[in-house]
Amino acid sequence: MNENRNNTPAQLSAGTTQAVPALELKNITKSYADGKEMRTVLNDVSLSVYPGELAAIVGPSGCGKSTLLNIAGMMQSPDSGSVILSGTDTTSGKKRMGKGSASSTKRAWAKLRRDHIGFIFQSHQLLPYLRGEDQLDVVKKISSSDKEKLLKELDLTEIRRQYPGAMSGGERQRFAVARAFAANPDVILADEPTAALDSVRGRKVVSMIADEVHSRGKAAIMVTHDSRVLDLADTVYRMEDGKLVKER
Amino acid sequence: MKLAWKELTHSWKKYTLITLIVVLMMFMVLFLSGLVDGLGRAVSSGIDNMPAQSFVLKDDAEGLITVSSITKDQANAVSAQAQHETATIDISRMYVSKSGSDEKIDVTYFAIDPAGTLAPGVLEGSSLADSDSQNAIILDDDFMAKGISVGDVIRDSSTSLEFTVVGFTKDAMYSHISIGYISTETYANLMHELNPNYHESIHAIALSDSTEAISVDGLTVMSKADVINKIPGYASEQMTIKMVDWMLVVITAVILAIFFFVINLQKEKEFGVMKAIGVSMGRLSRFVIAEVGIIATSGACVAGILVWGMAQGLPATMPFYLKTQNVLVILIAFILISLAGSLISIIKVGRIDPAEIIGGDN
Ligand SMILES: Nc1ncnc2c1ncn2[C@@H]1O[C@H](COP(=O)(O)OP(=O)(O)OP(=O)(O)O)[C@@H](O)[C@H]1O
Ligand SMILES: [Mg+2]
Repeated sequence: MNENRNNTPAQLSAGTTQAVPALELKNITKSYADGKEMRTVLNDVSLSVYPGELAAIVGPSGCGKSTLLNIAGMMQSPDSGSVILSGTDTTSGKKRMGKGSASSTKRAWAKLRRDHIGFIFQSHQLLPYLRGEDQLDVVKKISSSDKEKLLKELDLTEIRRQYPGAMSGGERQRFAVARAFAANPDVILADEPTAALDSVRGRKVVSMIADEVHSRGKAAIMVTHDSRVLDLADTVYRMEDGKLVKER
Repeated sequence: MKLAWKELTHSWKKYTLITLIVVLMMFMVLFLSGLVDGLGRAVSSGIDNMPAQSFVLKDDAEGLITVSSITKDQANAVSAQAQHETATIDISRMYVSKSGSDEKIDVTYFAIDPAGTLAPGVLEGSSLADSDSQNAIILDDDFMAKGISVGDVIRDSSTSLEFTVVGFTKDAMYSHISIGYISTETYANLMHELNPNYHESIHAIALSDSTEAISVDGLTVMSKADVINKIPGYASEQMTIKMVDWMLVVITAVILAIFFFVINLQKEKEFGVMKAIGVSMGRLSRFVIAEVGIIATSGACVAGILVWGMAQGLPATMPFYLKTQNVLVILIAFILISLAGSLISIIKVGRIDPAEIIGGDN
């Protein structure tokens, strides 16, 4: 309904703190039915991430980190609270996943994800039948100069013609990073992007994510279990008992 | 489309196998189709090839030329009313033997006016009109395979009347029996031999124009298609084989749909990721449809080429006849049904929840 309200992503330079967060979660609450009771996984969680900021979230297993990313990534709706993407409240108007037009909501979400969000998953999730460089065109067709630049920055130029099956774990994950940045999203969401890698490779991938976030002025949320990469993040949050606490 | 092609070529072994199954099934379907048309023609080609549009029959003959009987007076009335050329035809099923042999060979006599429109085209030898032999006969080329050639004398088994073979024609079958064309005069001789009290009457009159309005008491006009349908065995034979054939078309399409359903089920994770990163359902649907379409179309085309190639090598006596139009209808119907079958995959993909991809361990 009120879609055209302020949809343009803020054009922001790297590093500087801005008044408009790229992604803002406001008072998010989410509970799941656990047997007969409802278990609150997210209890009034708020979080703002600004362009050029890499925010890390740590916390014990099962505390709701992935749930938070799903909500931030327009894949699940919160029970209450709002998700504000570049100043536009995506939950305003009708409730997300409103009754009746579930499919049109799904379609609108898919478009928001396509236009504004880049995902990096725990395991690379590349399409096995596409060469490395073609992975970058799946979401949107990108210009070849953008592609060259991205491949170069992620040190992938030499293996661009390889299929994922022939790549090492680190190479795959770097292609996954490249794919997330390729469609030029405002927000990057990464759920344990280093879980499948050893610490050296994991650190390389995270530092590349950090570099891209900083140089391109993107906002990123990264869930991680690896405390050794936290120094690469600009801000660190700890999640516990459904609450998010800023550590640094 | 590009994505679909890339996947098909990447897993080419798997998809080649599936295409192979489609090729085999569709080959069988087209082979049956050739057979049904071949058998159909073995029943009807004698009538089908006539340059007639409709036939005048006795109205209680129920469309059977062989039991119809038209009197001379009625026949005269018909030709008086007709605006275009008419021709009489008598059909009679008998046996002939080569002279000096007792072996009976089935024959269907088609008695016609040698100078009229129904005179058959001649493949070898001369036409009935050009021949000055007594009791001349023109045979379907199947008789050639039975060792009869131009100039031979053959004998009608029941009357011992002798015919001189003056020529051969092709594609002349009636109710699975090869045709021998004789003049109406020769036919009258034959009938007199058979039954001294034979009264000259005519089985049917062929009309060369479909708009002809004939109204004679006791007679009725039937289209060529209706007359062919009434040939004993034709309709039921055609229906049975055609039904089997179309069932095979549908079964093949369903098998293909199931294959793709299972394959797409295995790709659930891939679809989930694509949905998560924002690939629209429209693009995913086109991807699924394109894969099915490519496999179905290439399988259908290869099967078509194989059947066509095989048809070139089949012996002429085999009742096999590929009608291009029928082949195309079958192949296109198969492709369309297959595409419709891809819908179950699309529905399945539509139900995949991308939220399960994030945070899910591999
Ligand atoms: N669809 C669901 N239905 C019911 N409960 C769910 C569902 N999804 C998640 N949960 C529950 O919500 C809690 C939080 O899950 P979540 O996946 O967000 O945890 P997490 O912090 O990402 O854990 P991990 O670090 O192990 O990935 C878990 O206890 C889980 O059992
Ligand atoms: Mg998780």
